[in-house]
Amino acid sequence: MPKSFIIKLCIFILTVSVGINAIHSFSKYIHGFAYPSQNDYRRIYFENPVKNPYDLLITGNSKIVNGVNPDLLEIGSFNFASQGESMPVTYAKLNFLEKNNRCDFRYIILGLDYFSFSFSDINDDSYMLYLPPDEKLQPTAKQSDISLNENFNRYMNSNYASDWNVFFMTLFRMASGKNPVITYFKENGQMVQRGVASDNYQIIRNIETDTNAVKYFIKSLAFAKKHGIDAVIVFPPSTKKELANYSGAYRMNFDRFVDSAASKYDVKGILNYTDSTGFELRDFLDVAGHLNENGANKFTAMLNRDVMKIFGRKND
Amino acid sequence: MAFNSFEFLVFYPIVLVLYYIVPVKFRWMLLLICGYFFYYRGGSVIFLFLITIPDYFLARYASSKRNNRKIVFVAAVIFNLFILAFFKYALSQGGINIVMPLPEGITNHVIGAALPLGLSFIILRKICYLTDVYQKTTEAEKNFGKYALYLSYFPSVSSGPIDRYPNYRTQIESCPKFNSGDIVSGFRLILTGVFKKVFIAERLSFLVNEVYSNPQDQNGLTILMAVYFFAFQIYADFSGYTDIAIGISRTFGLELPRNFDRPYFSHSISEFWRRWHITLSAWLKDYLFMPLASYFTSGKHFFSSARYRDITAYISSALITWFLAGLWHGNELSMITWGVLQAVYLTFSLLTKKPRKKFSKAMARRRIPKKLLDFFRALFIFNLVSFTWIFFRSESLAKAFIIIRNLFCNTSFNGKYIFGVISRFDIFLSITGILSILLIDIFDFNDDQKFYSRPAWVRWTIYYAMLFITFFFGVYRSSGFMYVKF
Repeated sequence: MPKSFIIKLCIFILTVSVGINAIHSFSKYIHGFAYPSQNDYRRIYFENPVKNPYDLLITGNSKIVNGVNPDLLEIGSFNFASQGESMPVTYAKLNFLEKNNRCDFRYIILGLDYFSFSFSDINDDSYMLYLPPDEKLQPTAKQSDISLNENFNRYMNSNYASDWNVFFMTLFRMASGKNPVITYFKENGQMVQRGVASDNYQIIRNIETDTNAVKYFIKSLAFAKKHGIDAVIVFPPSTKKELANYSGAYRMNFDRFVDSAASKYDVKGILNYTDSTGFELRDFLDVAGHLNENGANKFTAMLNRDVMKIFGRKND
Repeated sequence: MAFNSFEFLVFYPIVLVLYYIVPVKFRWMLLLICGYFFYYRGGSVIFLFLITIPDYFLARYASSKRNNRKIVFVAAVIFNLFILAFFKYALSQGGINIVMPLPEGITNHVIGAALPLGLSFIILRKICYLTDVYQKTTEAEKNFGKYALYLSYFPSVSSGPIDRYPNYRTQIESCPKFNSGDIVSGFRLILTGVFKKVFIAERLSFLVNEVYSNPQDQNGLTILMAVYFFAFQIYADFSGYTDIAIGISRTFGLELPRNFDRPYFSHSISEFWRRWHITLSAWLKDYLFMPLASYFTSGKHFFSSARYRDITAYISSALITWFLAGLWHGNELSMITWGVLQAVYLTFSLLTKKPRKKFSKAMARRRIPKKLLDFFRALFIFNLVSFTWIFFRSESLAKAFIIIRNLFCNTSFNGKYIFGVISRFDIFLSITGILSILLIDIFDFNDDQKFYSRPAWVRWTIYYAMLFITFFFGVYRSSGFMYVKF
């Protein structure tokens, strides 16, 4: 092989590597202004729930993590929900608290929506980030079960090829002197995201019953019962566009199942705000039903009133 | 093992280095071993080996001077067609079951596992070899290993290009040596192919997949965009695959035939098919259309009236050829409709040849620039082809008709609904992808001479730009290439 060819090839590979790393580092740096860092996630999901004092733990998916502001609840609370959280992840997180001797809280809110039993995956990077570091606590597929190709694709998508729109938007906001923060965490676990929903968007939910999701929902209820924690199931508010995905029959069956599970595991109450008329599109971030900061405060006020009726009555 | 997988990213450089380390006369053996290993990662090597054996012997027999060699040749072709029909159509749920009903208990999953990788392409290559040997345009291969390599050559085993045996044999016999020009040119093609697949095709699939899976919910403008996006998605996907295949082969010093020649710049449907999937079109023409046309023009059939003989021969041959081409792609009615539509277009093109020529002359007299006229011609052909892709992409004929109905009858051409399907940024990147593939065609990256005539800084800027864009704006998935499923 001619030497000159090898030299040229090496120069090309070297310049490409340097260039890729430089762009990658710069994009991560810019993203840091808009989004919480990995350290923020670790603090909120693995440190604060262990060291903060609280009587009420709030679990659930993105609708809950965005929608409940623990500062507005009369009972000391921590929002332990996370984006895209499936039922197995909820259960794994409860186990994480148990392992760290933090099952001393008295009440738990289990956030649920009509999409909660349609998925149970924990293979997405966002889930892996929230999962307890102890592999034994991971309930289903582990990182090692995923193929090499799949891991490579996930690595490329999450590390290099993601969120360039946010990069450009953040750069633009910084250049024009505006606040570049899009999403941030409060120390009480609530995630606050900027934005107001637009009716132009659609939301399509592929509804199917994932037995694993149902199984871990039951396990979470059993966990609360085993530890003597009073549980309340909460359905957060949603938008008409999201609700159009669920038929009346589907919702009726879903409610019936949740009712029977709740009575079996001594759940103290079911609060369903799905069809609540108190919310308008401007209270949401998007048509998928995620509340923005104002909407979250509105919802938390309602939730506080109803939760206090249940837990307060018990305290009396 | 897909070209866009991590496995391949490790496999290929190892093979390339080994290829130039082993002595020249043993290189074909290395390629054979690698071909079987590649096949093993996506299909059954035993199956591949078993279907290689009969043709090797039958072709040698058919090339002899024995009297019954024609019978042997016909039997060999029928045997190959039977294998194709059995795996592709008999073991098939949905669509038209042309051979036999599916046995109870056999699920789609079983069929997916049973369908051998690249079978359709392997069979076409086998028929091509048998015919050439029978017609004595090439000699039957004496070395079983070299024949096995022809069928298992890993750059082209799963989706072509369908290289002809004489071309393969000449090259493999010439024992290609290291040539840095070939390596650079091959790498450039591989980069172009990966860019087309990862940056363009995968991104375009966002809107296409959403719209084609729920066509009933979409308005006219969204469907129109999805139809155009799919036209470019399939082009980027398949030509991207071909670029990678040709590029890899070129780095081994072996040239595979070109499969795409800027098809969306065609001025007629027949020209489109001379530029799109060139090796398949040529196969269809040489081994199906021409023999059929020759039979129909011989006057032995029911269209014996001399006046209409040529035209009826053309129409009949085109219809049969494209019906079978549709069936080759899949046994769903939508795929067959796609094939038949091509025949209808080609027939219409033939019938309107004279008026179109007159029209061109009239335009020239009115001093309308030829380039402008050519642009509108290309645009018209692109729209005709995009319309046929609706049938190609739809999961069923019913869904294809829903798309067509909504495209023309749902007159709500409100752009805001598109943003409900994919984000503005994805639309921006999708359109950038479409413009990029048009630029690739305008600069004709596949033509070494044209590409190297540009200044070095332009070439190197293109290399870096494609690499960085692929790296940072690509969509990495395990979905593989579209044509692998055929």
